[in-house]
This record gives sequence, C-alpha cells and structure tokens, in this order.
Amino acid sequence: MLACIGMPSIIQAERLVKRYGDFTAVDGIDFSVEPQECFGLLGPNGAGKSSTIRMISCVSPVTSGRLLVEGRDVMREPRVIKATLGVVPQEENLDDDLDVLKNLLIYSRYFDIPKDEARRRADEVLGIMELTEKRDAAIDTLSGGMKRRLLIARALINRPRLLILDEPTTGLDPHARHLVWQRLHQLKLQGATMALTTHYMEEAANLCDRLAIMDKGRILAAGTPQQLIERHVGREVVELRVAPWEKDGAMAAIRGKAGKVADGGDSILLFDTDGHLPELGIDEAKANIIKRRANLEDVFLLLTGRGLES
Amino acid sequence: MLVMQRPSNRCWRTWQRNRDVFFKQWKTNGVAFFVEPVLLYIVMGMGLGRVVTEIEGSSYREFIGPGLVAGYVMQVAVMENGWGTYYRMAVRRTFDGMIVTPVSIEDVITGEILWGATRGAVTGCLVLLIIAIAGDVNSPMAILVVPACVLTGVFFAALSVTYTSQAPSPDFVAPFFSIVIYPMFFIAGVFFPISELPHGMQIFAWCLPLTWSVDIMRHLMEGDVTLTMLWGTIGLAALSLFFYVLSLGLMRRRLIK
Repeated sequence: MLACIGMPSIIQAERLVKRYGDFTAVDGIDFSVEPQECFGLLGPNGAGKSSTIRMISCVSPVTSGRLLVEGRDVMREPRVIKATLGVVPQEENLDDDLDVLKNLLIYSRYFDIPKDEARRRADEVLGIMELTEKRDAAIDTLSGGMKRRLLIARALINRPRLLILDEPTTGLDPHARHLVWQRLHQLKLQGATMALTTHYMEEAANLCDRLAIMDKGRILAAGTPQQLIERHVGREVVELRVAPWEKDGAMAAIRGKAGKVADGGDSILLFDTDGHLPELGIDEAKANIIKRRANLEDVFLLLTGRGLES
Repeated sequence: MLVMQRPSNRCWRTWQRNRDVFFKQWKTNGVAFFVEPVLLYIVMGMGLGRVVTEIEGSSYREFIGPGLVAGYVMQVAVMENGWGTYYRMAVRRTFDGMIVTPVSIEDVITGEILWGATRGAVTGCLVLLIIAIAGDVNSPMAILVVPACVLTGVFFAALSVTYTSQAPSPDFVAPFFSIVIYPMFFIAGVFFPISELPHGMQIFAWCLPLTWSVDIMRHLMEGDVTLTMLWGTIGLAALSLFFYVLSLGLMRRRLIK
C-alpha cells in the first residue's frame, strides 16, 4: 500500500498472533489501515476476525507480534487509544433500563465529555443515524435494525478517529441491513476511517475500499474487492451443471487441463475461462452452463474450497 | 498468576451508571430492602420484645437494632454484587460496552464494588435513622455507625464480586445466600448474644466477619469502646483489601481473554 510519509497508518499489524491456550485464533497476520479508508476482514465464523478486532479495541491482549493504532502500541497505551476509538459490538449491549438519549449520555461520560457537549453530540449522532424521533424511546421498543444503528450512534459520541464494526449487519433483515449500509456510506463520505468484519460477501463488496480475506487465523489474500476478483477468479464465472455422479470426474479432468475450478455444490464453477472452454473439453452449445459475473464468494471458494457461510 | 492494572478514578463512571439506572427503578428494588429490616425491627420488638424484656442490659429492640443495621448492609451489598453484577457482566454485557472506552476492567470492577457498598451503606444508615427516631440510640457515638456501614459494605461487596467472578450462571448466586449469607445472619449475634451459644459455636461465630460488624455497631450505639471493635475494624479492612484485589484479578481473568 501507499506509505504516506508523515501520515502514519491508523492501524498497523505485524506478524500479529492471538492464542487462547493451545488454540491459535490469529496466526501471524500483517495488514494496515490508512486514514479515511474502509478496511474489511472477510471470512467465515472462526476465521479470527473478531479476535483481531478485539485486539485493536485493546480488550484482548496480543499474544505476539506488533499492533499499533495511530502509532501507539495497544499493549502499552490502551487508555489513550480507546479514547479515540468507536467500537460497535457484534452483540447488542445497550442499557435496556434506560431510554435512547440516556444511553448516549451515560456512554459519553465514559469519555469525560461534558454534559452540555454530550447533549449536543447525542442529537448530532441520532441525526446521522436517523434516530432523532426515537430520542426518548425505551430500548425494548426499538427494532433490531434501530438497535444496531443506535450502537453505531453510541460509538460515534466521542468523534472517534477510527470506527470499528464487528459484523455490523449480522442478524438483520435485508431492509434493515441496507439502512445500516446507507448510514455507513454516509460516514465514509464524511471521511471516517473504518475497520469492519463481515462474512457477507455483499457487505464487503459494498462498503470496503480494501479487504483481507481471512480463514483459520491467516490472511489468504488482500486488496480492493475488484483486484481480488480479477487477480484470483477473473471477471466471469461459468457454472457448469453436471449429474452428481459425474462431478468428481469432470472436476479432475478440468483441473488436469490447468483450469481453475471449484465445487459449487450443485454445480462446478470454472474461473478465468475467457473463451477457453473448448480447450477444457466443454462444448458450450451442449453443456448446461450459466455465465455470470465473478464475486468475492468465488474468490473465497477458490482459495479455501469452502463457502463463506459454511 | 493473576494479572491486573491499577484502577483509576474512572471507576466512578461505572458507579454513576449504576446509580442512574437504580433511580430509574428504585421504587421496586430500593424500597423493598429498606422495608424488610424496619419491619423486623418493629415486629420483633413488639412480639419477642414482650417475652425478652431485657438482654445484656438493653430492651430487645435496642439489642437487635445494631445487628439489623449490619445484617442488611451485608444483604443489600451481596445482592447488588451478586445478581446485579452477574446480570451486568454476563447477561446484558454492560461491562463489554464500558471497557472499549477509556474505562478499564479494573475501573469497572472497582465501580461495581463501590456501588454495592454504597447501596449497602445507605440501607444501613436508613435503618439507623429509623432506630434513632424510635429512640433506641443511646449515644452520640452512633454517628460512627455511618463509616462502619461503609466498611461493612465494602467488605461484603468485594466478597460478593469475588464470588460472582467464579459463578458460571446466575443460578449460582442463590446458594451463596443460603449457604453463606443467611447462616451468617443468624449466627453473628444479630438476634441473640453469641455468649448464649455453646463454646465451640461461639468460636465459630467470632470467625464470621458479620459478627465483627455487629459487635462494632452495637458498641457504637451503646456508646462504649472495646478492644474487639478495634480487631473487628482491622479484620474487616484487611479482608476488604484482600477480596478487592482478588476480585480484580479474577474478573480480568474471566473477562479479558
């Protein structure tokens, strides 16, 4: 990535490792997040995304390697770093005994924001998240999507220099998810720096300027969504439908002819074919095929042999 | 090895948060705990007080008053830092929200203990006030019951947080009450003098921290000073410090992974 002199990376991770007892959750990863960038960690459950996010949030000790937030070591200056972060947790942890506004005001106290200023900011962040009408509502009257937006509003109360989102739309219905995406896009336009985890291909493609694809504690590939797709799977995917008993043989045959291929469940996925189908022994006119644009799910499938949701 | 960091004055942020939530719902959970000791004091005084006209030179009501003060500081603090702390820690995950701000886990736990101690001490002081209004306080030294309530509150709050840090589910809070707290309440000299117990039981009773607290409260309200009060104060202070530090380490181990 671009090394901007005098402008330190917001996050810099070098050979970062996280172990829980014998289990290695994060296995020596390197990445950086630059100012005003939305960086995503894409991977299935258990890939080590949340562990990474928790280390950045200074609530999980680094086992080894180096992790800097704005040039500060997370193990040495957690309090200073945490004052500049906005963290949106995966699990909703609002104070359901208090109304929406009071939730924000109490949270602002953790950052030592004076009362009047906190009220101003609370109205501001409720506006950004389109929750102004819910200002005095009780938490249990909010929908799942509203709660998620309130969590984001709460994370913005200290005007963070880095917004961290752990699976920001997991568990939301499509409409609520789109609303959250819309709000996060808005924040991006205003120049926010974000680091998020997700196992939704669509979310990663939609929001992230740059991505790291993670699996089993390692980063398998990194780049812009477009770069990742073009570099690993090409622009187009051919889905070849064959009878289940013919699938393994067909895949082996295609692999033998140096084609990029993955098991797509009820079909065989061929990548990077670009007019080479006849060379792979496939007659386009006779075979049962569908051509479509390649996506990040395909990249993950090709790199790991498994789907993101599995 | 238990690892921990030095807590800061941000612990009061946690205390404030708990206070604000409490005042949203104090009608239900605050009054209940104040009614119980006052009722015990009045009803036991009226009923048993007729039978037991004099006990160690006092009326029965004068005798049980200080014990109820100490006993309810204990119960309220243990309740708050038992179910209350467990709920905030594991059910609502309130702590998770706090520790990603400049508030550290040590601040959170310190604030929790201070809040449990505050609730216990305030309950104790309210009971003291009722006793004073009823005319059962015989010495101006009784004002020192206030700091004694704080000390008792801090000890039982720290003890309770230590226990809660090891509780795998909220169901584990109830046995702590039935096995530790209630037996202590009945043996520690709240309702009858420990000297009435068989010798072995007396020694056991004097090992209970609540006994020390009851002893301190009772002597303060009667207006005399004894050596046992000094030992009790030192004991409660030392054990408070011990369980406070232990709770910090155990909570960090449980929550910071």
